Amino acid sequence: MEFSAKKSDILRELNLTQGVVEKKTTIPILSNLLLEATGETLRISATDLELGVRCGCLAKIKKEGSGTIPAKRLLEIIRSLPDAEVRFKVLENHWVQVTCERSSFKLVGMAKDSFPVLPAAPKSLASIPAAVFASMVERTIFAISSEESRYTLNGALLILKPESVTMVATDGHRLALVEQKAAVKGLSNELRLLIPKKAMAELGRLLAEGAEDAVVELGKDESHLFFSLGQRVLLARMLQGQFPNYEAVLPRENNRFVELDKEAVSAAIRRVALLADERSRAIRLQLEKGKLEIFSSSGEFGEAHEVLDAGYEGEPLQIGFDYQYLLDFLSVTGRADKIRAELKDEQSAGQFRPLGDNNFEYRYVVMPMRI
Amino acid sequence: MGFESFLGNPQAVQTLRQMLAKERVPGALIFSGPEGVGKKTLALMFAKALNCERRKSDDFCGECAHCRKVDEMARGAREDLGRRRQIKEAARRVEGLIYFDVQLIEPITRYILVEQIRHLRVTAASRPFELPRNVFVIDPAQAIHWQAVDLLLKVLEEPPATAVFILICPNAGELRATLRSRCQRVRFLAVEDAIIARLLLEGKRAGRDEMELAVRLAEGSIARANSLDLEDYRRRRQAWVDYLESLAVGPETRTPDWSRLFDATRTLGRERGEFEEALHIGYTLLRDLTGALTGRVEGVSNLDLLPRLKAWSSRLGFRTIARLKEGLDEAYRLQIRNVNPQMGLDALAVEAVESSPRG
Repeated sequence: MEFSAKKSDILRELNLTQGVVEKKTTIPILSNLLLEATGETLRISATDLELGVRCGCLAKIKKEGSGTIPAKRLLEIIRSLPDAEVRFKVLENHWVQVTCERSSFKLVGMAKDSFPVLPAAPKSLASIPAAVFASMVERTIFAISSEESRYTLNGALLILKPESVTMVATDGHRLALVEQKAAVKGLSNELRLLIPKKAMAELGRLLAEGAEDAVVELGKDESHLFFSLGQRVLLARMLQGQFPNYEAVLPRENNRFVELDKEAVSAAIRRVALLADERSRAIRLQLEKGKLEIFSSSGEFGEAHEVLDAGYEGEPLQIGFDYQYLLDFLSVTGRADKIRAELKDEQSAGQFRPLGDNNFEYRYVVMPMRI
Repeated sequence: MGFESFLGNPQAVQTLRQMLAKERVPGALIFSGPEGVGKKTLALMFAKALNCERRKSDDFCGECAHCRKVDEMARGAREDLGRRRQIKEAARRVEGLIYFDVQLIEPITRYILVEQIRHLRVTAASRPFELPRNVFVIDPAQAIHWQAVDLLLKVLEEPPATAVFILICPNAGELRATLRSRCQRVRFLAVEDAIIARLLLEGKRAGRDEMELAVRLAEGSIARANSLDLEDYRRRRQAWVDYLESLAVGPETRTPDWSRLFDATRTLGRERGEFEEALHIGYTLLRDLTGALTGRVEGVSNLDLLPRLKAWSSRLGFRTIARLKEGLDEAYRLQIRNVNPQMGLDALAVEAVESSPRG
């Protein structure tokens, strides 16, 4: 294999692979990238046997072929090079020579045969605008459970219908649900995909790199999910099992509403949280006519209290929440300047929605804490 | 190459083949039986059969891409374990674990750790990456850390559709009842003498004149038959011979030859890295002593020592032999805690002399 490509092109693609390569692995081939030069393109593949990514860029290929190179070292080298053409050449014993202007490196590669086979992407089942997908990933990823014992919650459920896209994630304590009207192409029935957490994180990275009007093609085979964005493909092992019936936990009888200024309430929660108990992260919200009071107390450090004006007309109510759960939501409400809290009583789940951004329907349900 | 290349234990092979033929493979299996009879080998063959691209009802080809991949994965897992065992910092040994679709899970330290079982659960929660089925081979299952057993129970109770767990152990009785009850048992027996003799002959491990001795020493284990070195065995056994001979003094001497005995325990204590193997030789000799004492010589392994075994056993008496066996049990338990084996064996000898019928 022998080829050359622009430093900036290679660097952009290498950055996409870094999240997939497991940094602490002791299996050498998995810390390597597979480079394949054919026709006019360079293909780069990486995997941790959970996810796989395939990307690539244009290259001037002198001799077709393939080789594997340590991912981290290659990234560091390419990053440090001047903005110029970089040449790659496979030498004997799988070594790879990388040269750029007057710098030259010889990297110890490995036989490409031991690199895992990444399955080819099957026919696309549906395609959705990348921007829609990206905003959904951002608004649900934080609510995905990390507890390995509840593995059906270790991913976000994507529900595609011909005219809408829904994504929902929960860890049993809170649930984030985003729904957006969008034309889903290539779909006649409903399609449900459970996307693992790590894949969601990498998707976020991949989607951020794409053009504004880009489209994500979704596909699946027996064991994998595929997300293609142009030449770039992310594949993930499918989670076993069924996502729980989330609709059953959406509150329907919450009848105490209050609209709050997003920035003001975020800032207040952040301040009050400074003296919240470090383990429970509990804060107490107290709603009374015309105002919202936020309290925290920690046996070790003291107490905090803040009052916000609020157009609340209902019965007084006290309810406890994990402040981090509320901040997670507040930080992804986008352009909305107000949020609406819908509560019932101190033992029932609270529901929060951003107001003023009609592009999507976003609901965030949080279980209260005993205070 | 398929199941017919597996030596011995036709019953176990048959059980697995029936599962394959009927497409009724349980999610969790226990392979129990003596060391070295091929439990792990058969587990990997089973993993091939579950994944083989050219599977013929109940057998695998051993040549297709998937069968070769299983070999590659097993090799990769072994190498990974080797590298992790080399890491000095304990916490780092279990960092960044990645499991192949067919994965051997073995102790990195003395135990199979919580992190290893936790990662097993994470891996099993998804579909496999390169092959149709996940097969996790846990060897030996009794080495699973007690804190990790509970983690494993949950996943064994409801194994994911694409995963099969194989727990390997010499004696299923050593495993917790809750683990046993979740797994289907496949029993392995010592391999027949004829197969062992053939292996010994093929491997030029013993000449015809010593074949009977070699077969008995291999104890029905293919691994032992393939690695038996009679000369080396005799050399390692010598320390035990000295130990027993010094203890089993006749009525004319009355006191043991302490200096010879302590030389012997020093030699045994020096085999630190292989003390378990040294203990095994000791156990075999004690068993032979019992055999010689009761006249059941057909079970005696160290045939070449038979006349001496008879003499020693009658001098030591059954109670002393039993006490020595308990002493070795103790030494076996304590070696895990890095206790000096020499001191233990010295103390045992002193105690045995005091309790011997002569005294």
